Amino acid sequence: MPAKSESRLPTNRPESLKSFVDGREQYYAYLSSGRIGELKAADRLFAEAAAGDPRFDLAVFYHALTLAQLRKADAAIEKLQCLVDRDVEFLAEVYLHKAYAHIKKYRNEHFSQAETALESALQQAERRRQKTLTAAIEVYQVFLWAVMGGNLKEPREAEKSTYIAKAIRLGENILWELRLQSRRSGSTKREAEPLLHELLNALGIAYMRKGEQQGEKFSEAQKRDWQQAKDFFREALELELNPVRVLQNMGTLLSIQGHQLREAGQWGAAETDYREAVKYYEESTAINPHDQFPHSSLAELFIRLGDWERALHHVNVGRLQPGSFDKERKKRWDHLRLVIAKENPALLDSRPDARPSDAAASESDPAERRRPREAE
Amino acid sequence: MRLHPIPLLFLLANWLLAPSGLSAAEEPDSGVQQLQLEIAALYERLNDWEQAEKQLLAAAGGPSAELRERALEDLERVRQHAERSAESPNLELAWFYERRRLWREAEKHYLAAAAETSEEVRRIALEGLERVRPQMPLTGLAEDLEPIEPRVEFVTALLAKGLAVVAFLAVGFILVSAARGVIRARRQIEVLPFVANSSEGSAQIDYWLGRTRARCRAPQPFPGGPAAMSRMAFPYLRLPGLADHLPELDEVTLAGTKLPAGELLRKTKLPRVRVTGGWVFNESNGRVFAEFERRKGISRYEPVATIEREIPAKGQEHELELFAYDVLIQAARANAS
Repeated sequence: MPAKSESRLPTNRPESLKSFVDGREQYYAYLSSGRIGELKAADRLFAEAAAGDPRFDLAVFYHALTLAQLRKADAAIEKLQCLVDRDVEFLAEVYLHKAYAHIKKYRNEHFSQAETALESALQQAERRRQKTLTAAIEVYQVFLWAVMGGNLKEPREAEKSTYIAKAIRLGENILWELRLQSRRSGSTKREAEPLLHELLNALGIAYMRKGEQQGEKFSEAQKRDWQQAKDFFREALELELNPVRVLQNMGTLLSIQGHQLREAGQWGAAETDYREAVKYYEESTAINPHDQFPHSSLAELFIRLGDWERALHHVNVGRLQPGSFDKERKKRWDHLRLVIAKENPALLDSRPDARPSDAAASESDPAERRRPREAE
Repeated sequence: MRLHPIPLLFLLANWLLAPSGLSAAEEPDSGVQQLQLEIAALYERLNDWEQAEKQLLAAAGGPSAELRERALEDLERVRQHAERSAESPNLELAWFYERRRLWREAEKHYLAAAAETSEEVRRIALEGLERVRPQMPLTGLAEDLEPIEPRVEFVTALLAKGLAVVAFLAVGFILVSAARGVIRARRQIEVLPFVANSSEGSAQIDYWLGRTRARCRAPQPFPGGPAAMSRMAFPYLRLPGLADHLPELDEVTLAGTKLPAGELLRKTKLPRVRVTGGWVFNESNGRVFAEFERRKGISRYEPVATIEREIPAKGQEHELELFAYDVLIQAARANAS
């Protein structure tokens, strides 16, 4: 970044500044709509801006954000680390989004790094007395814990319930404060809506995992947790912000419910949940089809429903999209193709890497293998 | 007790209008005796017992036996009235005020008398009220206003003082606004109208500068997102044609001295950075330039940068937009220098 005394604008190159401003418009539009075209345009423009002026830190920062949204978490982490090394003025924001990129890796070591990054973000925000940012960091903390509650692998798997409890406790405290503020002012302030949206999504995930981990299936406690999760997701959708992640999480919740019913032999009820889940996933892919996760989930659901043609379509489309499956990606898609080729849904449960993000997870627990991760 | 003017007028009228020839049955002094009786009756109606008694005593000593007897009867009645009124100070006071046409005061005392135990007093009081009340609407208003007058004066004085304070605050507000406006103006970057070989060209430059500035200053739509965008904020850039926010001042009179406040404001509200420029173009090509001056001291300007750009007819809008971004960058640099 140019020295403060030289300029208050972040670059001295008009071409870079123009690309940056154009990219920012596209990025903000994507945040409201969830449309992938806008995100890709933003990514290209930020890359141009940063290429035109390598010291244009803000362009690098925004480029990292778009990369994280495009599920290129490694590239995002690399750029954000670069900004940390440069000790830029907006370190708190950099740490916050670095944490988010680490969460998207869905691995134990990245969860730990996300926790460290959030801690650093909080320190930086408090040092600069950025109250709004502090609130946002706390919301991301809830999101991280909720995700950890569903995705921690051995040897930390036993900590899942602790993280879920932490996520719910902190999340509900923040929610209570937000509701209090909106009651005082008569309505939720427009600028607070994205924060509320993020929080409701995180709380929905936490309750979804809590219900899933209830010892007794079909218990009242489980029903209550899942109903709570649905309520949070629905409230998030009502805010009419980017609905993609919430739609996918709603689909995931219904899939989990369907699996439990199917295992209990209640196929009719399971089928209803599967079809409902398909609706949510398809709604999300209509907005943003460029993500492996909803396609793999849809392929699985269509396999369960015996719709082999549509299952194959999603395998073929999904495998070309970006995602977080990494090394297991090819094996995962190959397995789905095999199941479709044999037209045997039971094979879905027989593979140790049946779950996209849990390829290295416990192989002995079929229920664990079936469990989908949350969207984001 | 002073002599009432009405009986006197009555007496005079009787004297003037009295027939000059007396009848054989009437002796000359009985007319006076009759008049005395009539005057006494008038005084009695007015509750002036003392005067009524005087007239009746005079009539009782008159020549006509019949009139003497009548005078004595009346005298007895008047004395009874006088005695009763002496028993009731309220009636006494009511009559006193009634005679002086102070109707409200009279009414007050009649009301007090009407509450007394004596039936006779109550009857007289009620008669008095019947007389007094029809007189009150017009005079009551004047009496009502009387005690308000000092209050009106107080409120008026208070209002006047309040208005003075408001006027003082208003002047203070205008002066503070003017001072703040000057300070703000001196921190601004001001873009003066660009010279172009057509008004359309000048308007195009203004448009691109305005659009670029607005896009750079767009607020971030979500908290906790890239709040770092606040680093894009830079001092207010005033474009040509924008209204001046300084208050309208012409001359201010202070302790009898007229100060040219408007002139003073105009001379002091000089922006920190001044941008001037021009654009010359033809059908195929064009060239645009801008010069940036930084204020040094109170009113002196020094050039700090100049930019130039080719604007080909093809892709003109793109190049003008880039030029606008360049102006913003250089203006911000000049401001920070």
